[in-house]
Amino acid sequence: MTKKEKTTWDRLLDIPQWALAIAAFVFLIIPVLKPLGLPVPVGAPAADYVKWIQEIPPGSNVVFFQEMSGSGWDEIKGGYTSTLKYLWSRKINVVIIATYSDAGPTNIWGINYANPDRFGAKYGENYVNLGYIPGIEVMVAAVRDSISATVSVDYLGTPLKDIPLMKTVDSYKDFSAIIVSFSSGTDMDKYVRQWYATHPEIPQLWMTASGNEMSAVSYWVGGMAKGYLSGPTGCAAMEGFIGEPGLAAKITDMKNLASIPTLVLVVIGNIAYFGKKLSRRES
Amino acid sequence: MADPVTIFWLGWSSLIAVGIMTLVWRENPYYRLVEHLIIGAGCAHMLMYGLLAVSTTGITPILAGRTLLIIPLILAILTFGRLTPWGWISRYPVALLTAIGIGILIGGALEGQIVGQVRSIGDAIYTAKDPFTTASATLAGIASIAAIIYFIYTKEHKGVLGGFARFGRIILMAGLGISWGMEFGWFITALGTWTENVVNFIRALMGIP
Repeated sequence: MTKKEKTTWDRLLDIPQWALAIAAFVFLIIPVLKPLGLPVPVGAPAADYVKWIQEIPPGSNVVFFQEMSGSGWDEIKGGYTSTLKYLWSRKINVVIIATYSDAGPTNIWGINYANPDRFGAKYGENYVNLGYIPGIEVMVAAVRDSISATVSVDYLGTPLKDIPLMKTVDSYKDFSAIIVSFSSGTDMDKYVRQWYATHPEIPQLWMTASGNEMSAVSYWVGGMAKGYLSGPTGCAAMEGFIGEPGLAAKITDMKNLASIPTLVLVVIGNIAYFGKKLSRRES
Repeated sequence: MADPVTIFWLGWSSLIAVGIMTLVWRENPYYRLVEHLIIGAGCAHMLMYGLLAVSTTGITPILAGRTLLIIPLILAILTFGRLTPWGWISRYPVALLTAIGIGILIGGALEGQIVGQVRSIGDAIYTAKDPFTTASATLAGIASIAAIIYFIYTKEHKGVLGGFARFGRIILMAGLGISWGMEFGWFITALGTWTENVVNFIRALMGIP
């Protein structure tokens, strides 16, 4: 039995996975070695995020629910750190809560990277990290009504009654905005259900991985979220706003460049697929 | 030159990143080792955080005088009843947890996710300042209805209903396609950061700033 000879279409469709990975890798490595600083387009949701964050009055308090674990952290770390920098620079106090257990370490990383000392922000006075509080949606609802009834210590084990900021902050009445960083396409629903449904006057600002844009956009159009940062591109807009392009801007460069071989390969794959189909039909 | 601690952690993360990336070549022992390491470390991490949370939200407040919190603590212990011959014990905390969860969810869902969304489409149609916004909001409304109709299984998808269901399916596929495209961006981000770690590790080893 003779082996059927491969056509050009077959060869195109048989490009090995490792070759595709190397192509993406080559394009990814360029901005790592030499940052390009490509222009970052600012989408309407990101522009609204920037607009609304400026509306938060200096000296007020915000609650920051952080859900992003290590797997998606790279998508939003630029937005997380630039948001903290901006809030601290405006003397806005921040209460940080990890909604999932694996968001605890990313919080610590983000706070350290944002460097509160640079802005004169003191732990316990200008920001508090309450660490991971279990309960997910029940916790989000409980925190809305009373933080002190939900948790008794911060992430270091310091009793809340010994933390100056927590003496003045306890429930939704004390917050002028709620900031959420979430990882999956349904994670933001609980903030809409528990905070927006009962207190729509408290603006919600979100940041999430780019894969969740489709879920977030309907809430932004509906006014549940005043604005959101989607993936590194959205976060780079926030970095640009504070004048410190960094983590997100670099990843946006990488994504832009790595998208080139991806798009080319998608086009080649489709041409080969339809070419093979057509040639079969003709023969 | 980077300090030894930084080099150590960069080395660790690079070894793990390279191990995961070897899967594009094929399944191999290095990949499996890294996969097991990540799952093991993840489980250990979740367990420790879980225990810490029991301490901060349960035991510490009970010792401080909030004795009523003993009830949820007992219910939590009863959940492990499934591991004993008296498995039925675990049904009580699970039932209570489900009931509270649904109760908390339903109230907010009506206003935030259903009424609020419908109202926003209505507002956009009636208060739009330009024809594009009106057309966009109308299309969003029709598309939403069509997508819901696709999930009606009690009536055969024929005639007008069938037409709407087909349109709904196209809308759902378009939505999922866009989501997948954006999701792909997430993978590129992860790959980019791993690549950066490996490059930074090599740089640190060679003393390149």
